[in-house]
Amino acid sequence: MAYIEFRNITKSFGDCVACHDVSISIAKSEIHSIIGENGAGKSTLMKLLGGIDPVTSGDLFLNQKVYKPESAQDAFKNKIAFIHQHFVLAEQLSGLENILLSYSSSRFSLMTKNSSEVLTAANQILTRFNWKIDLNKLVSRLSVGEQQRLEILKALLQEPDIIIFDEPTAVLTPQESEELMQFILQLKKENKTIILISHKLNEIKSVSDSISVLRHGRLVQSKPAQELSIEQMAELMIGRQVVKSTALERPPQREAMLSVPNTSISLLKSEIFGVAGIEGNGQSLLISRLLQEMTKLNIKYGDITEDRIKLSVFEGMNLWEHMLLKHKNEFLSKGLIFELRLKKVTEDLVKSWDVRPPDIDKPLSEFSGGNQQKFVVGRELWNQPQVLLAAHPTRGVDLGAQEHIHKSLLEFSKHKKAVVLVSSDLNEVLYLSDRFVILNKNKIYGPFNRGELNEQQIGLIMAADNNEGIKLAGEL
Amino acid sequence: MIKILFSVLFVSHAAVAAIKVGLVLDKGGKDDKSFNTSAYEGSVKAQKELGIELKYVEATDTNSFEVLHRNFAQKKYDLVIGIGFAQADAVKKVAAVFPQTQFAIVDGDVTAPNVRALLFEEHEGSFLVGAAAAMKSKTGVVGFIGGMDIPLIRRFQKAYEAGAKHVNPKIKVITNYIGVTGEAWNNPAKAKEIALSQAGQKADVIFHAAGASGSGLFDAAAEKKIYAIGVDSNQNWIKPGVVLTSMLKRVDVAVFETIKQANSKAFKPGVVRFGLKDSGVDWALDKNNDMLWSEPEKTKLGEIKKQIIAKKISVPDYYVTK
Amino acid sequence: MISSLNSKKLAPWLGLIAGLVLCCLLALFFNESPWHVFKILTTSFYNSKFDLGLTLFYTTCLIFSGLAFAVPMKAGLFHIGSEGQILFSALIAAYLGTAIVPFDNSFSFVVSVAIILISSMAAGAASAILIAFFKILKQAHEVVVAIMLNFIFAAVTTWLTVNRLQSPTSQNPETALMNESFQFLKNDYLKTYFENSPVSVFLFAALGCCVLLHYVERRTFIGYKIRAYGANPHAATRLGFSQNEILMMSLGLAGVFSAGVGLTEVFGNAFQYKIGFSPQYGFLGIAVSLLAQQNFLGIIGSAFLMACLHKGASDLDLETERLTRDFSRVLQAIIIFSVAASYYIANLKRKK
Repeated sequence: MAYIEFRNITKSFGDCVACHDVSISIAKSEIHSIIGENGAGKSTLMKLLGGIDPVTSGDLFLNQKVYKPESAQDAFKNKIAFIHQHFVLAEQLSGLENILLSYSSSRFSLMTKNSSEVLTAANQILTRFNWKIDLNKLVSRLSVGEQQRLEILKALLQEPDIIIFDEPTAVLTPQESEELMQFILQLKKENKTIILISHKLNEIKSVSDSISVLRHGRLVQSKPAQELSIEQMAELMIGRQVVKSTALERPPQREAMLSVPNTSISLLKSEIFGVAGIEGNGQSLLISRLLQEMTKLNIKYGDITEDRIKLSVFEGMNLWEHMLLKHKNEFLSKGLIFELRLKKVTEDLVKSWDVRPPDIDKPLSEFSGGNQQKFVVGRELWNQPQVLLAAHPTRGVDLGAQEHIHKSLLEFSKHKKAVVLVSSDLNEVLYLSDRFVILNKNKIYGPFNRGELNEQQIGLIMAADNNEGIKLAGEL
Repeated sequence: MIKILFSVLFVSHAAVAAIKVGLVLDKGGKDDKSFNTSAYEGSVKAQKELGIELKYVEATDTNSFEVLHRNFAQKKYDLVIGIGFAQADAVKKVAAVFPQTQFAIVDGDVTAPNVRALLFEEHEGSFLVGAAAAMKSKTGVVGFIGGMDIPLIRRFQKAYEAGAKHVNPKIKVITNYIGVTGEAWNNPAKAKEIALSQAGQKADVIFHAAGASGSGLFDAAAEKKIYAIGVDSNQNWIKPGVVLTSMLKRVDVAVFETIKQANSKAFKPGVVRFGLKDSGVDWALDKNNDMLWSEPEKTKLGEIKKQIIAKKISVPDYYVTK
Repeated sequence: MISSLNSKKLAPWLGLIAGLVLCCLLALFFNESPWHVFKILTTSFYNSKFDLGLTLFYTTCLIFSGLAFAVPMKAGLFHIGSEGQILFSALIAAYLGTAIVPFDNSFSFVVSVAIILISSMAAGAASAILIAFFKILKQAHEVVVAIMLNFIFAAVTTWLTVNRLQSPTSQNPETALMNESFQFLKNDYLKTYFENSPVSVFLFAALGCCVLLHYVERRTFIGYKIRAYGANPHAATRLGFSQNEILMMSLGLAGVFSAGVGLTEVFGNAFQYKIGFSPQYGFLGIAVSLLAQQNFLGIIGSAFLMACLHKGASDLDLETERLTRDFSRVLQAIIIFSVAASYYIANLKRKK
């Protein structure tokens, strides 16, 4: 019997239909995964359940009763908790203070809960799951994994029956991801109903009871998990078979192109140089060192930034304007902008990278994350730079685009070019890199050659407090 | 029927006789409790007593003076009165374009065949209240609070100092100005702060020439049990027993007289200076401050006043000597 | 797409009409005929050539001060320091106009005029760049610095006027008139046509600036650079744009436009510096710019609208029995408010 039911749900934003006639039913205390490419409508669907957006047409049922949330507060009262992909935490407050904040449900209330009561309750949950978080630490000092746990803790304190996880493992190390999956299974045992949104099909396959696949806003499949293989899932998601590209053979002798000051790292021509590590362990510092050095040596570089929204997208500016900002010299003649050529080039780029919708006058910020990223990657590669700095190039990008981006990186590196691949997705680093380093607390370990370490060993170096005996390439 | 006809004739006759007067107030507006208020009161008195038709406007900025004078002249007003020195240029310009219209300006020195300029000898009155302050000061320290540091207020200040020194050559005069923008005329809090600080420096009589900011001085004086001196209109009533006297500048009288002249077709162009001699400026003595003054003191002040009128005492005029 | 574009273009006009209707209805409470009030508000700006000239003079000043706010706004800076820059640049122009005596030949005259104009603009730019300096060196917020500087410049100009540059022939707090030869705009064709009203050729300079800026914004890279910085300073720095350069350039330009107001007053109208000449153009300019949503061509329209309202304010006082100057300020506020609200509503619709 259905515990949560989406019946003929349609959601449109203006002319744009994000979900079209979707019907899904979810049983009590099961783990139900929703998968789909970016922009397939997964998050939209969950926002309807979470009361964040209103339904356009169709009905939601909760425990056989019509459920019509008007705000996130309504969902909250119905014991639905939403763990967002982007954490909703005040960085300048401590963990405990953040928890207290979540209690002040009414706009006008002051602190409604006694902090020691809350602390006891929080500690109970922490011990139950064997977690260690210092609740008195400022959130900005917590690691990403700890922040996520704090988010989950916040949700659990409200004793929800339904918990929605929106791409929870995107920022976690393999070990942390594994722990999170164990945790989700444990929640299931406690009779909670879990909805899990993810890209990582392995994880989904290992924990889910049932799986729904969305494509272009429509439900294409909803089945028990054991009836779907990973390959089938991928195929359903993108509507065709996925052909994974393979790593390239490299010439044995490669010349150096650039070395990072104060470290023993030097980039070689025709290679992808991976940088693994949990975010916030010195990636930004390493990137800024590289940028400085390349500017100093006047090396032409492409820059896929580590934070797309913050560092690559200009609010309100359209695609061709973004093109101009990066490649100004190509489109200026006598100080004036050569608009015709600029628009033509942008249109071609949008076509070859399949950016959807192919509207070059639309602000980049209004595209979905995956399409933004495709555009940015395409733009950075457009003028054949010598070095490509690619930080999290496939974050938030669907499988089809991911494949396209990976192929492009490999293709690019063939022609005596270097790629610096910074990623928190360990699979990606292992899969693409010829050599790689691992960052931990601003220390650079490595470089290691392809195949020198396995995933578990790398995970240890990433997370360990002390890495004595591991070869060190420098410190940031 | 005849009655009605009669009354109609009578009323229309009265309407024909009454002149139309336009009053252009300065940016401070009619409620500045200072000279705009005074001018407004004078014209309202004329409206009541002489039955003239009155229309007043308040200027929005320096450039609007001209357009207001122009509009009044275009609408065939008989007399247009500008209040404040800032309108001098506008009156000069518009008076030349409309020679049939009569103009008057307060505080502005304009010479034209159809302009009557009403000037006040503020320094004479300030000298007198300076002398009054020195007579009443026990500490030998008196204060002066100006609004903005502009020539007009310097004129008050300089004569006030001279008046105080005339009575007590060793007296100390503390001078402060409230501000550097137009806000200074409307900042009682700052005036109070300054007054308290002057009182802290032992000043026991303080004179203000700061428009609507003056109320701050009166509050401070009441708090510190010292004397204050008002300005422009008679401010003795504001805090009886605290306000020692007020330096009167009878803009109302000047405006009323001018309207009266024009109404009886006796408008005289030219510059008119109002001083102590014709009570255009004066010190105020009424039931609110009479108890503060002994007969000998009143006599002595009257003596000084007479000497100024007779030019036996020469009062320094900032406009001339600066 | 087309319908939303139209609604966005129509919105301010609908807002304007709604505001006017509201104002007229409000007049009913004061027993004034709404039609009469409407007529005054909509016609007072061209009652006579002189009135139109005055309205155009206000328009000139408001265009310049609107630009002084809009340009830094493109770079994401909330620049409210225009008022101080106006005073300072006006005083510099007035002072140089009295201090410089050109030789008796046309070359010397042209050079002298150029010196005055450029110095005044440089003074405006320098006083605006001060804000950039504090922002760069001390990370001080531009609003706070600008408020302080407004006050400092008001104090400095007043002090200089009264104590150093006071006109010896006047009892008003003002500087002496500029040299006779610099008053050449006094009797030019424009002034004669508009019956000697304050309007001057600076009007065309202001219009020219709007057109030029519109062009610069769309067709040159500088415009994109400033806009990009305004949209996302982090991303702009990552692309290698220099923050200091952008701050100095946008604020410097703002200072030059502030000087435009000062010059319009001193060089085109009064030929001297009078304390209190500005009815806070610097702050009115913020409303002008926000009303036009920082669109440089739109600023022409919104400046003219504000000028009409400013002009209409004193006429309401004059033409009606009971409406005073303060009431007409309320009307101004209502109209600005409804125009601004209409943008908001149009944007809201677009998002839904």
